[in-house]
Order: sequence, then structure tokens, then C-alpha cells
Amino acid sequence: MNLEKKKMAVLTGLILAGGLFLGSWNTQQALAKPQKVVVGTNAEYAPFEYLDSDGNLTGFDYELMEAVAEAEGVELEWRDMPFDSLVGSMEAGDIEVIAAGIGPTKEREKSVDFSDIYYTGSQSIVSRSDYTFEDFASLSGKKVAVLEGSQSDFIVSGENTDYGTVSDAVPIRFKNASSAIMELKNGGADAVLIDTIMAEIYCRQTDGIVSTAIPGTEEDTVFCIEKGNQEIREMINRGLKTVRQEGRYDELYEKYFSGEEEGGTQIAAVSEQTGFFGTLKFIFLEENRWKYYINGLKITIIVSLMSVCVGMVIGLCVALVRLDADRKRKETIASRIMNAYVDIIRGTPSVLQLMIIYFAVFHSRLGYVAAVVSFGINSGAYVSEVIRGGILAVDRGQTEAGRSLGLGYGDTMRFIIIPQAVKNILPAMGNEFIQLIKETSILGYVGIVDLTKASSYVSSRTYQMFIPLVAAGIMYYLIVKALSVLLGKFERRLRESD
Amino acid sequence: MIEVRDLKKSFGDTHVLNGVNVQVDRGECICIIGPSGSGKSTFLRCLNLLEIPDGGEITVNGQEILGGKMDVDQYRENVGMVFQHFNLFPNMTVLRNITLAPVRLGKWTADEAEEKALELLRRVGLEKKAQAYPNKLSGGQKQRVAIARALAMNPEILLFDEPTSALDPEMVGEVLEVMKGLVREGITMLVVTHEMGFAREVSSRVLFFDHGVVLEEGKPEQLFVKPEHQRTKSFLSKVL
Repeated sequence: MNLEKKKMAVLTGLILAGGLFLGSWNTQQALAKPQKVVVGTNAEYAPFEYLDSDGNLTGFDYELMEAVAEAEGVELEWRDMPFDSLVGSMEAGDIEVIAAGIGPTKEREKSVDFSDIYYTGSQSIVSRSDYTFEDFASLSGKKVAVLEGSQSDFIVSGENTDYGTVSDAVPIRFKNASSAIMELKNGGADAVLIDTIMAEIYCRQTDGIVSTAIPGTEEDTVFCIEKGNQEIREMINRGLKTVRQEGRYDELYEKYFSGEEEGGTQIAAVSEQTGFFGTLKFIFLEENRWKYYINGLKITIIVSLMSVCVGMVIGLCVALVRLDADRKRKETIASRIMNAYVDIIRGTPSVLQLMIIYFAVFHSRLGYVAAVVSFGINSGAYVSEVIRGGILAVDRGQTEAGRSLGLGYGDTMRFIIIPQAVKNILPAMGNEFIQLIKETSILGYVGIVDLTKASSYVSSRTYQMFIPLVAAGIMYYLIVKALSVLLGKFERRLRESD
Repeated sequence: MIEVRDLKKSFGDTHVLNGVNVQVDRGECICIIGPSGSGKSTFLRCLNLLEIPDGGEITVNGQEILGGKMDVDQYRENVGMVFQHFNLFPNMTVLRNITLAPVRLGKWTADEAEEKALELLRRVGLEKKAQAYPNKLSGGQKQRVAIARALAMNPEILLFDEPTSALDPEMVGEVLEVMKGLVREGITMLVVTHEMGFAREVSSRVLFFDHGVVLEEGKPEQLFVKPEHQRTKSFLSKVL
């Protein structure tokens, strides 16, 4: 990296940092209104918090928090985000309360305040039927699958918790419980350490696994409140008391944890169908679960389409600035920024770009816009290179002929070069679009329910690991195949006109 | 009309032009001959600033064109160029190839453009090809369209960079005929060419380029019959 490039990298960093600063300053301002409370959650933890088939938040924590808010006469604004972003978002001032089945650990107490305890669960070890683990000590040296960032993760990682700890275990961290169970069934893990309620649901649903509750692991669950915000803390504790007194709490407990009520079966969806087609019917038709796919598909297609449009505009601008600098054999500030942009975007993973733009720049607001901006910026870097290549591939004599007639650079580009370059560019552009459609499968990292995320929801709701994911794969394949066929036809038409 | 003094141009370590001095009067047809690599094409390209010279002076109609004080696009409107490889715009019809620049630059209105372009095509004998795309034309036809396109801007000076070198032999004649017509009309022309017959017949003067300088110049009957320099003699003996 030469000195100029270093300078540009520093400058780009400063611009980004400035954006972050302004962003956080804005949220600080927004906190002035107390009647609306922003609550963060992670809707991947049924039955505590999850999305229903219409994509709306629901779950025990959700309904309980809403009941508290109703009792206190405040309004809630919910933000769904990855579990491991919750505390960070609170520290950044984006959310004021976390309702995500969190335990009051000493570690967390350093960054947040806790409400009164509203639920006490316990840990269970799930294992294959041929072997059971009785306590934490027996897990020593074993491969243990856990939910990333959960209480069980801390226990298995040997971090000191109030509920005991496992030494020398190898933690395998997953984003959702059904992946963890899948790992166990496949033999990749020796055990899954998980909340007892979920352990029992999985054992009921899946053959060949058993769960063992660990005594002494009763763990409390609390809402987390922004450090030092007494007003909200008192409000929640007061509200919890009211909700318990009025019997709402018992209703919710019954609904979500008994597993027998109508609401309960909804969470612990159990297949009563048999045979392959019965299973298919159960996965896709019951409770309209196919709707997840349709909604996810919509998101995938809309985000990809919009991103490719944003990417083309960015790409064209970047390409023209860089070509202009090439032509004049002189780098300008603009062309250096563009070079650095292409360099940085191509040199970093798109999932990191998405998370940085979504959480740090947009502060989890305007989710789809943030996603389109992120993928647009990402795609723009690649598109700019495609366009640049396409334009450079047009014979130099074309530019010379245009300029020798007295046409300016702009007119020459517009009427002569770009129309010819389009032919060179189109096939590569089609590939870029196809690439982008598949790339959007990382949207789940920021809590947007695209096709991939939808399929993993269906997987975790039905406790079926294979079919829901394959269904999503087939849908991706069909879109891409259809696009390739269309592109192929289009290309042939273009070649015929030559 | 054109005065070139001590023109120099290098590409990296290669010195292509080593002090070229040329004077051209209005209405002259200058043919430029010489071995390949002698700087003929570079010299021509310097005249309409497709290459920027490293040193020297070019004055056209009393105006100094180097030094960046002048509007290059406006200058080029007055200096047409015809290329060895035609460089027609493949994405446009023959008609639009011709009308694009004059309409964009306000020389013609959109209404009169078609009529004027057809008139030019008639001059080069191709009015029937107005709606054709360049890839449907033969090499000779392409070059005649390119000439019509250059003429559309009504330039005072026309530069030809080996206009017949990329043509099949049977098509050279039709292009040279069109060029001869232009000479008769009195357009100032500079032609880099290997067509010695053409140079002999129609040029007012011939420049012999060698190693980036004008080694010898003179009327065609003098230069072709009694060349002074040994290099000129040996070159002519090879090509005639």
C-alpha cells in the first residue's frame, strides 16, 4: 500500500467514524421522550420470542412486556436483532430495554440494570438415547452444542456463572436450537445444553434423543434496562407486579409453557402426519407455513432488485470517475476515494459490511433501506469494475472518431461508447444479479426474514432440519435458472444484431 | 494556413517526432510518405491533438493551438479526420453516423439534418445506404461514409491516416476517386498514404518522413523522379 492509498484509507475511516458519531448523537436526542420505550429482542428463541407466520413478533416475553406496557400506559417500539448485538445496541443508546429471555449474570450487570425476575427456567442436557449425561462434570472433554451467547454458552465455555460451569468442554455455537439438535443427531456434537422447556419439546418431536434436567441450574430471567435509567426500571417492576396480580401472567405462562393449550401446540408444533407427503403437508400447509416462504421470497427478490439498481448507479458513477482519471493520467481526490472504495469493498466480507451498515450506521432502523444501501454499495464496487472493463473493451478508435468530430467527452461516452459497452457488460451484469440474489441470504444476520431466514424459521418451528432448507434451496435454484435462461436468450438476440 | 515548427513527441523512451517543420497553404493536398515507424501517423494525430506533442509549435489560421488556451473540441470541428480502420459507429445507421456530431454541436437543425446527410452521401455515391448499419457495408463503402461523416462538420482541413491501407485492393479505387473530388473542390488535405500513384497524380507536395523528421519534401514530379536523399531513393525503389 503506497502512501496515497494509506491516506485515503484513513480519510474513508474518518468519514465512517463521523457518520457513526452523528448517528449516535441523533439517538441520544430521541431518548428525550419517555412515553415511548424502545425494546430490543431476538426473535429466534421460541417460545420466548419468535415470529409468527405473518412475520409479526410474538412469544412469552413479547406478550408479557406488552402487558406491562399496557398496565403502565406506555407504548413500545420493538427492534429485532441478533442476540449478540443486544447489549452493544443498548450501550450505544439504540434500545432502552432488552426482552430476550436473558439471565442476570455478573458479567452483564456491568453494562446493564436488571428488572425483577419474571421467569425461572433450568438447563437440560440433550443427548442421543444410547448415552445420558447426569451433570456438568460429565460433559468435560465433550463436544457440546449451544445457542451462541446464551446462558448455556457461558456455562460450556467455562465462564464463571451463578449456575455452575463445565471445564474443558468444546463448545459448538449455533444461531438456533434446531441446528444444534441436528448437529447432535449427526454425531457432530455429543450433547446439547439448552433450556429445559426447549429440550423437552425437541425430545417429544425427534426420535433417538433424550433430555436430562440438571438440578441446581434454575436460572432466572429478567428484562435488561439501560444502565442508570431508574424511571424505566421502576416502571417495569411496577408493571410486572400489576400483571401478576391481575392474573395475566398466569394466562401467558399457561399459553406458552404448558404445551397442551391451543397456543402451546402452536409453539411446540408436533407432526401428527405420517409418511413423506404427510410430513410435507405438516411442514408447509399447517398454520400456513408456506406464507413464510412467500414473504421471504418477496424480501429476497425486492432487496436484490433494488440493490442491483442502486449498485448500477453507484457502479456507473465510480467507473466514469475512474476512467476519467485514467484518461487524464491524473488521479483526483474523487478518483482516489473511488479507488479506495472499490479496494475496501472487494477486500472485506459482505456480511460484515451489512452488519456495520445496519447496526452502526442505521442503528437498526429502516431495516430494508439499510439492507439495500449495504448490498447496493457492495454490488456497486463489482459493477464499477464490470462497467469499466466493458467501456475499456470498446475500441479506442471509437473515442477518437467521436472526439475528432468535435464531440466532447460526455457526448462521446453517451452516444458512442456506452451504447456499445452495454453489449459487453450485460452478460457480466446478469451474473452480478444472480450473485446478489444468493448473497442476500445473509440478511438473517440483521434479523430480516428473507428466503433463507424464513426456511430456518420453519425448520426451528417444525423441528424438521432437512426439508425446509431444501425447499428454500429449490426456490433459489428456480429463480436463478429462470434468470439464466432469460439472459441467455437476451444475449443471443444481441449477438444476432451484430 | 498551417505552420508546424520543431514538433517533438516521445512515447516513453521512443522518440517518434524529432523536430518536424511543415508549412501548408490553403487548398493544398499534402501527401506524407515514408517507412513505417517514421512518425507519419503520429504527426497527423498531433495536428488534431489526438496526441499531445511534447514540444514545438502548431499554428493554424494564425492561432497557436498548443499550450491549452484554446477550446480543443471547437478546434477539432474545423479539422476532420479519416482513419485507417474507418471507426464508424456500429451502433448507429449510416445516416446517424453522419448527423450525430453536426446536430449535437448545433451546426445543423434536427429537421435539416437528414437532407444534408443524404446530400453528402450522394457526393460519395452511397445515398441508398442511408438506413444501413456499418456492418452491412464493404470496406470501401465504410471509408466513403467515414469521409462523408468528416465532411459533415464542414471542416477547412481534412486529415487522412492511411485511408486505403485496410481495404481490399479492388476497393481502393472508389475511395481514391472520392478523395480526388475533394482535392478539386479545394479542401486543404494532409494524407498519410502508401498509394504512390495517388500521391503522384493529385498532391501539390509530397513529404518524405524518416526517423521523425521531414527528410525531404517537394512537388511530386520532382520528388518521385529525382529524389535528393539516398534514404528517399531506397524507399521509393522498394515501393514503386
